[in-house]
Amino acid sequence: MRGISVLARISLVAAMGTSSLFAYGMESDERILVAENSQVLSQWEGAGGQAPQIVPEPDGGTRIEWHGGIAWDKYVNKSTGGDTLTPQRSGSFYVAQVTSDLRGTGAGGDMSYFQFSGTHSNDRAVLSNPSQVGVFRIGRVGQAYKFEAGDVIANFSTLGANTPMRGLYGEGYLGKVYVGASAGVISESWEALADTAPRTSYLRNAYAAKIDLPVGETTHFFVTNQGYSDDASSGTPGTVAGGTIALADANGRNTTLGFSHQQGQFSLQGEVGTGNWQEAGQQSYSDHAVVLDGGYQLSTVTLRAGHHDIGTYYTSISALGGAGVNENYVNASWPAKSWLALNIDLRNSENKLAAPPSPATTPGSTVPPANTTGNSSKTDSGSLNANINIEAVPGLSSNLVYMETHGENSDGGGNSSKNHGAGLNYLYQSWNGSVNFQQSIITNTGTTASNGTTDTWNYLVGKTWSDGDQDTAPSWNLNLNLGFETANQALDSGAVTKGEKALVNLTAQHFKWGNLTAAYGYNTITSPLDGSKSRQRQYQIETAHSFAKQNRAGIKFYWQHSDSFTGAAFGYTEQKLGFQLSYAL
Amino acid sequence: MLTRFPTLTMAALLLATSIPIAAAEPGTANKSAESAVKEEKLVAGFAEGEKAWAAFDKLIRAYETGDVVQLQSSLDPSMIGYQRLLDGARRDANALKQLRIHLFNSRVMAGPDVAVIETNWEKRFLGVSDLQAGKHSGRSMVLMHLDNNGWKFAAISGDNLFAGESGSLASLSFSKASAQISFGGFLTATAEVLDPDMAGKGSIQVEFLVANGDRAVFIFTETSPGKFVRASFPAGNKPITLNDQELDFTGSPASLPITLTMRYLDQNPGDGRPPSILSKTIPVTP
Repeated sequence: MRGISVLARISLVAAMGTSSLFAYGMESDERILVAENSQVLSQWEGAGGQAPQIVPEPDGGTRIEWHGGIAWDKYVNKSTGGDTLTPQRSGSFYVAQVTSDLRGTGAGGDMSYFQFSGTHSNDRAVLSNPSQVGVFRIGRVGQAYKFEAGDVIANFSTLGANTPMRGLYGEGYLGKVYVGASAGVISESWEALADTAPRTSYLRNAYAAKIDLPVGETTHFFVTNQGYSDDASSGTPGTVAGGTIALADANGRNTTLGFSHQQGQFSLQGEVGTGNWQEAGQQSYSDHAVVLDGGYQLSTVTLRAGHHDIGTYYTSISALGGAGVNENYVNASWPAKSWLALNIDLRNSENKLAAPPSPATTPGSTVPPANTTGNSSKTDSGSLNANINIEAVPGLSSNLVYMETHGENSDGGGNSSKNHGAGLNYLYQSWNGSVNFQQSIITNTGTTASNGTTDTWNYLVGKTWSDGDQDTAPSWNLNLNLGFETANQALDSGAVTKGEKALVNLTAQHFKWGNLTAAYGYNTITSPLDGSKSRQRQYQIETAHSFAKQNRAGIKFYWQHSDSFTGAAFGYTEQKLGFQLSYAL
Repeated sequence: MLTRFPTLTMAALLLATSIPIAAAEPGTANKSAESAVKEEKLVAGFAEGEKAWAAFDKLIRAYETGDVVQLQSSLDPSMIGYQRLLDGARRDANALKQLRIHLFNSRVMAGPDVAVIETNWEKRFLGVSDLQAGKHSGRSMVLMHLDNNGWKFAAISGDNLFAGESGSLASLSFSKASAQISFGGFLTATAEVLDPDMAGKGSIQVEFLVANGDRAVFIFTETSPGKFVRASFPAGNKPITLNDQELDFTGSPASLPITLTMRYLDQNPGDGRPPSILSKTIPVTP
């Protein structure tokens, strides 16, 4: 007998990168209509992240799960102001989204899966092209192996590979030895790979591999190797990219050795790498990188320290790696008392990319002049955070922060910054409120126009009403928040920029009727030149309702308005009126 | 549809506490230790991607509102480039006002304990010194990491959304597909370099190469943060003299049309890439 269990959810936009529900002003936890679908979502989460733990059917059959849904938005935009001020364009638009996550778990616990999500829209502020594949992935996973094809993540090490690819991925254990490998194309999207959408970077053919060997119970050693080569033809005129890529194509490769050790309260991870990088038509560069990070739990104090040195010309396919950084840090977190928690961070950092690079190139070639930047070349920094629970008043806490940096610029100039602030926060029963102050002082000899001191005050008060109590879950709730902020930026030039912001936010939820959100925001800034003001306003109303049958279907209406209404230089208007239909299959 | 509405910025500013309070709760460390024990995840579903996206959006809100303290609290101390990112974010917060981030072409792919967010972005703002409107754009890949307390920001590559000086690839453009020249005078074509790394510098130097071998360097003036423009270039019909701040078109106009290449050294192009040369070529006609 074949057991089938289909779990459904009403949120249809999880992997689309942005969410329409989210976009319309609801807090992140609310955007998937959690209130109406908590049971469904609970099931979804339980299965979504832990599918391998699903128990097979008693008779040994395969258990199949399918999560998915569709959503369709239709809306009308009205926009003025031009591209510099607003991304929106006037017109009538739609967005259609679909997600599907199909999983089958066999008798042995091994699972096969196929995931897909896609978006189609005629709104170029949402998608540059009519259609976009969000995720396309097929794979099989067991206790000691995993194979994937399509959208894969090569996640092997800090200095080696940490990147998505469109290609193949496999990992497994040969005894205790872990072996993983991935190969494919690093591209902006499936559409760019298929040459149906413009590219802003070359298609990069890449591979990565890792072998990890445990030594004893507490230590691992690993080696990684990876390389890439840009497809020069993918950026030349005649392709869709049409010569929009101003960089030369490049290739690189590197090898890293690393370890991780954890024993009791002590942990240490390290990796060294050496790599080679070459741009077409330029000479080849070799460089190296070292990272070492450790931690120690000393009673209640968590100590962390590390050293990173990544060469300017070190290359990898790891988003974690970066280039041109040399830094040392010490960090300590200490819950000193039941009412006091401290965090201290001290570090020294060198930004090698702030300095003009050495003009070493092949003979006969030229290198444009190197401009010095206002970016800090070397920085010493420290920060201290203190969080205090004022136990005498339930719900009341205080926060103190102090941050300071001192740096040198590559042109011999200097920079410094100081941030300090204090706040009181109150959260008790149905009331919440806060008062915060921050002062920021910034000086930089490379960017003197914005040097100055900024004082910011922030106030908030809110209250929640509902029919629930300690023993009964509420069937409805209403939340109102009022906020206000002032920011006074006194520039060293003598000019002053003043900013004011205000917000009224109302949210309501009813277990049968649905959700309502209404918000109004106001934001002004005063020109330091002539005292004129740029004023921005935002209005938003959104209401959502889920229909009965297991809350699978939903409908939502929304209206948004945002504008800047002072003078032609800053003037823009954005309006959106629309609705969304959604259904979980 | 899939855009971020500015009200979120306001809400973030006023509804979120500027200084994180989580650490003040008694027993936080113990809770973290307890939550360290969790089941292994082998394949993430869309729900995990959605959670990673929510954490990413909080970072954007902090950046839009200039809340560097909040931004710092979301970073892991061991993050490579920690200070460089904070320096850049602090400078942006100081120099760019009424920031609005627009995301498009966005997608999230979640693995068992990492999630990758790929998105195009546009950053609209007013410069603090003169309230001139400006726009930066780019494409970022954000790496999120799942730890005991949820999804955390781990790294960003591509063009750095949170801080121009942390790495953002410059763009070069000419106002026209070709330029016209009048000898004894100027070559008319508005050339532009947009490099957020250089915001606030006031001016930069850009090299021009003529196909006949001439080379000249010109000063571009900053018109809004990170945007450097020059509209005319001295040009003459005379023998080649390198680096004389004039474009020499030997034998012109007989040699026209000829190609002209603008070259710019972006010393911090982002994406983990070393200093790189960008170039843009257009034809020059009489």
